[in-house]
Amino acid sequence: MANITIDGIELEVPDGTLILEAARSLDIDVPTFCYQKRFAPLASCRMCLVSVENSPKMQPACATPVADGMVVHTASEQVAQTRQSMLELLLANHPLDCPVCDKGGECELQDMVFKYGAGTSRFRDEKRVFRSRDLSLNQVIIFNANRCIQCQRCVRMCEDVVGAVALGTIEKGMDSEITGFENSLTGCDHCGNCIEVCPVGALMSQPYRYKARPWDLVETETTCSFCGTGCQLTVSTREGQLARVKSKYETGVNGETLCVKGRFGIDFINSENRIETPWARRSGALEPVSWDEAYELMRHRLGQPDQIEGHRIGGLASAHLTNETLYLFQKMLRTVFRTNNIDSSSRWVSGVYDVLPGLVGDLYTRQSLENTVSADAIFAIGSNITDDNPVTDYLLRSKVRQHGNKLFLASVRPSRLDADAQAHLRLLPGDEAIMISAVAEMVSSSPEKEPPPAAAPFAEFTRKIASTLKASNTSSVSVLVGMEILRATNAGQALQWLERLLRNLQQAGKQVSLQFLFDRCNQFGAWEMGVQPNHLPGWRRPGDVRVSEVWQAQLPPEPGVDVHEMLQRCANGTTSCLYLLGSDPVSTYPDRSLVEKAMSSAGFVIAQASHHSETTQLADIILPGAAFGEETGTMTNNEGRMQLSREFRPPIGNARRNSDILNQIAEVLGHKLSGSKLEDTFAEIAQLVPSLEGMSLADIGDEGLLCTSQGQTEDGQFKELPLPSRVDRSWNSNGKLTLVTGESRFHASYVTEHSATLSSISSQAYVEIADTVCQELGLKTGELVTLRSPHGETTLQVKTNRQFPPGLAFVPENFARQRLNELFKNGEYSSPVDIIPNEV
Amino acid sequence: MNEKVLLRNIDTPGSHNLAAYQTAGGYRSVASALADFTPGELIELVKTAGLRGRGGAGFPTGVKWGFVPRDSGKPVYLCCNADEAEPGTFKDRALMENDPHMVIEGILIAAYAIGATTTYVYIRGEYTVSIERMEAAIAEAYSNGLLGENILNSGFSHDVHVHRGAGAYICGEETALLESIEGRRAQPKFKPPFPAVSGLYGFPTVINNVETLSCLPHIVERGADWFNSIGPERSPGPKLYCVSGLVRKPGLYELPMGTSLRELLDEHAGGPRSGRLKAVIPGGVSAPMIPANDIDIGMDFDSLAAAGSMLGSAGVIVLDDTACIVRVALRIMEFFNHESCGKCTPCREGNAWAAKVLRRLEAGRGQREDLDQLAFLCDGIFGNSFCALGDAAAWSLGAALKHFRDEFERHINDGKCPYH
Amino acid sequence: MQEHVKEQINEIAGRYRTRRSAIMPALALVQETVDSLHGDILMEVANLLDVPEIWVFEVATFYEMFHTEPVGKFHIQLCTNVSCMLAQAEQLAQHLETKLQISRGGTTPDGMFTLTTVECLGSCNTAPVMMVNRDYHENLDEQRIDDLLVQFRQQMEH
Repeated sequence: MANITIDGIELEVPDGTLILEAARSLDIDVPTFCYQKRFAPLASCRMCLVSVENSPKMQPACATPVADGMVVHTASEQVAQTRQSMLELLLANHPLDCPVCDKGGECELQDMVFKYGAGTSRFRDEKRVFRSRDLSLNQVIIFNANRCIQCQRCVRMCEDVVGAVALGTIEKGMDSEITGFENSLTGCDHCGNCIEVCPVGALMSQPYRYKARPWDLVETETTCSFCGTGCQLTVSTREGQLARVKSKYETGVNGETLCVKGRFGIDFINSENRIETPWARRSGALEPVSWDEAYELMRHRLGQPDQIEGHRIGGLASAHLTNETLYLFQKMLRTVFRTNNIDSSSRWVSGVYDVLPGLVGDLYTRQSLENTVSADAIFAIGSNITDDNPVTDYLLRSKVRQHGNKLFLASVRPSRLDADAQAHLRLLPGDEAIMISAVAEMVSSSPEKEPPPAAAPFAEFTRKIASTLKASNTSSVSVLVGMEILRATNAGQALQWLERLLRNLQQAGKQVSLQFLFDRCNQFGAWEMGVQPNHLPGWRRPGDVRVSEVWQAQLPPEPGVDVHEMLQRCANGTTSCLYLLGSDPVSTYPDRSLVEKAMSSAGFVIAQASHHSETTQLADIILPGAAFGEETGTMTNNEGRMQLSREFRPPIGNARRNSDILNQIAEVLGHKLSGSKLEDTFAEIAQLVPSLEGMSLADIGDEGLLCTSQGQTEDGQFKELPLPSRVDRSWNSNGKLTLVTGESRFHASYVTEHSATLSSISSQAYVEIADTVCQELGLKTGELVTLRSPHGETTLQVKTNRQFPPGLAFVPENFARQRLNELFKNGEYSSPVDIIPNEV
Repeated sequence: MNEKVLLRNIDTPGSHNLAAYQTAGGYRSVASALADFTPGELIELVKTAGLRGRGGAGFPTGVKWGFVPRDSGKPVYLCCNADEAEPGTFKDRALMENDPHMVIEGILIAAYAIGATTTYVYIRGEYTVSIERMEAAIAEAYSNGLLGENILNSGFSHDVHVHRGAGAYICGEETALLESIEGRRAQPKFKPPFPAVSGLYGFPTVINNVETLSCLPHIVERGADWFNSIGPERSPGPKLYCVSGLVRKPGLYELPMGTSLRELLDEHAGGPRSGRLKAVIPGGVSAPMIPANDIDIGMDFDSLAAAGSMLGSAGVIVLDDTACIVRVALRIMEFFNHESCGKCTPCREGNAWAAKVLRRLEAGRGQREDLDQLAFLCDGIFGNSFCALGDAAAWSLGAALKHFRDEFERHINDGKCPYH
Repeated sequence: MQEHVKEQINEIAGRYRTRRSAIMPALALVQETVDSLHGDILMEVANLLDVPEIWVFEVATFYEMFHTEPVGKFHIQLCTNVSCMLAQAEQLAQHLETKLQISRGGTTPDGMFTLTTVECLGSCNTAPVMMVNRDYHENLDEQRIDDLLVQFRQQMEH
């Protein structure tokens, strides 16, 4: 600890504290441009110079650590004079074109000059002008070099946080200019974090260009609706229209960062594909109807309430919806239709639901992401985090680079984080289980067991990670679990072994935490709300007495069936009704022929959705639901944190809030689901979900609601788990590749296809293949190939990747028209494929 | 003392070859250092000798070496700063072109003392002959067992590589030099951590100037007392002075540290060209100019610092009474403006601003407020810039304004340069 | 990029802890074989060293001696810093401009000469000085410059 004095106030701070941090802890304002907490200090703007007694020169507060006995002055005449001088110098060549600058009104330079500046300038020579017209760097970033003050926040953001290394500085001195390679950023992530951290109007958003003045905007704080990281967004509207999305410094899990999807993809709500009125199928064709007609038709088709046959109905809901909507949906299915046939993802099979309670109940520690990425060792399995959860990727990278904690990655696809990992492993879908089992065995055995023969290909990696996990200086371990694991056919086994690994580590005295890396924003909430066949809200078993009490209803005692079984039953005629809430199985379910057969065989398909899709086109009735931003509710992110998704405009056209629709349908069918208010629904949820016990909606503050839990420790011997076997990949030796699908960097599921901005950046599917394979096949990036699986084929562009393993092919599952699911069967996630170059 | 030490081989034909160097006794010092000294003893020897860095800052070399953590298990690097770009300076070039093996021998002694495994010699790109000679000498040294594995059977191994600069004055600043070797834009880095703890690639690193390293073989050969006996007590040793400008005998002079500026000018360099001295820039353009009346001063670190200037690189630029001070000040500011790396506000913006004002002033388009602007800029830059480059720009302009304000005023009053 | 240049660059990269360190030496080597360090060549260097392209672009533009635009067969770099300035380098610059009919920074239409004025070349005792390609020419005056220009033209003819 060091005792220091700042402006006459004595305080004690830890050694290594920067003068700036110490001053700010006293609410002493020290102005900065180049400093931001997330970046390594640069000390270049010189705004934060303060006097330190016995030091011949003024010191930059942002980079100078305190020393015991240090006496600092931040309010002296000399300091004030210096700040004024720095601003006068910065303004000498600044164009002062505030009236036409998008940043005007929220510009740090403007604010700083107002607060610390002199008001007049002595400079009377000609200003430096880089160019008179702004430079468009890509579809979303436009640049005015004349306004840049060289704080380098954008460059550090791009390199050290995002890891893209797309922005840099060219030339030197007064000619220094921020730019991308050859003055272009077409190859960058388009995340716009450089715009966000730009203190002036140098880097600007193209979609927002000349759209509004900050003071004309209405701001709404909300939660991103794409992946499970759960970033906080500020949505700005002007006269009810979406103007832009921003993040805020040190706000939310994401701080000032966002990914391209969150920052630029929200305009999907303005798509022409929005459903503005109910539709019903009459004599084979869909036609617009009124809400009353729609409800009347439903009442007619679903028969009298007491005649509804639960086993003949199934419900599938999107994990993009709010907790309250999802809760009401499953409650309606369970109480009105008396069925447990409910699921929330069309992309994995139900094997996981039996195993999850052990992991989620005891080990899902609901730690903040900040804590999770601060663990001594981080083991991330089964995700290209850079594409699946970009902001989680940023936080991991900045933490690992700044603190040197150890990251291990095992995934099917390479990712940008590989470069920051102690070790990384490429494996094929399904091999996660054997790899995890090997690590679990090595961690628990002493002397260390050799990995089992089936895990031999992963021996080097498992040895490295096991030795780090066991090391005495590794006291905390975080495990991040990606969607590749959940989507593998042996997901259940992988999760069981993961649980075993975590318990082994706990027994060894390590602090463990577990977090899923969901690609859907409220997947965790969907599970907790009981949108799954095996569990009611709060992971309660079917037949749970407490639920019956709260709902005052008799509940089906047996678990229901998952999406796969539902579709099978529709196809073979044993299920006659599907209720699809916001989900689009026709595009997403990995077996196109099955889902199409199911849709045509089912007697009655209800699609409640915000956008038209291939699914709605096959439905019998379409109910227009609110899109993101048109209703308020809570979402639960990967951390387990509940956050608000707020309404910033009313639902368009005749669309209604999803919870209203569900309540109204129940009412039509003679039931009452819940009170009409969000608070009431939340209160009911809190009675059933243990982690929310005693909570009300009002408990969700600015930082959301994160009820951290400590993992339960189990003592004693564990029962023997069967060793997983390697998945059969004999096709790889026949020249076939293994096709996997997932999120791309620029899109989130099939939702952002509706975003005009994201579509302008990326509008076509592609197949990513190792460059060596491309060379063998004589293929170059951009050329067309046909991808043929045993079940179907599709034609798309090739993208070569130097980091890809030779046996792998990846296609983003973001483009519905690609009909990617024609290549898959039975919901199985990967498939052998042939790559057939197209004749030119 | 007029014995040549650093330049003792300079007139020997083929002095850059190993044979000539060895004939003159070369590489005996490193043999002795490796055989008779522990690294710690070498550091003590250099501390006792009182050797101070010849690059400009004058920091005691042995003390600098002592900051390197011993046996940290990390690799240690030595960088030879041969990015001689301070206007008015040409001493390191002379050493590298004519006596490259002396530089290498100095490198080996320093490397052994600090436990370095690799040295990068950062030579400015324009010095094509220096680069060729150093590379050739390194190759000769490798093939004669003087570099590489197990040098002279001592068990000590060392590699030396030349890293070519590519035209950026700022690379002479030691942290910028390291950034440049790492393949980045050469912008100075914040200290602490100091390079001795976290330098090249984050490992302990010592950066020594060519002339500094060249002193080492002589210190090892002749002892600390001998070195200490030359020149003033607190900055001893032989010193190379580069004399240029409006002077009758420009050239490179080796004289004891602390030789008076008047003696250097009048007795060695033949005096000012017109016979009437106006001012002298004593240590490259970074050093504030000294008016003619004040040249009875010792050319050493402390004496010049006390007089408000600095020894710097000992690039002595002579201005006789035909020189226009405003023009000289403008040219110096143009230089600093051109060479500012662009990192910090005062240097990037202030130098450009000052250059614009001076350009106008020199052309006779100045106004009285311009002098206030210049004074404001000197104050705003000096002490506030990130590294010494900005300080130097403000400092040298400040001296011109202080000693020759009348010349600036005449430019304004006459509406033209009185000298052209 | 020629194969032997690639090999040389890879050999030099081995002298450093990171391949990024080899950007400067790589650009210096490549520059000897091309008319300018244009975008494609910078991209090739980035690929060879496996570093982001922007890093190469940054280095190629920060350092004065790297040319992203073509320069003439003879690159005349005349020092105009203080010592040379005091030795009338400015008049020599004007003389060169007149003789070559280009202004500073320009290249003659035949691609023969590029004229640049530069900072101190470290040869102040022989001022004024200029560097033409790799060679220094010292103690210049107008006559010597005229002779040199003739000599350069003759060199090109042979």
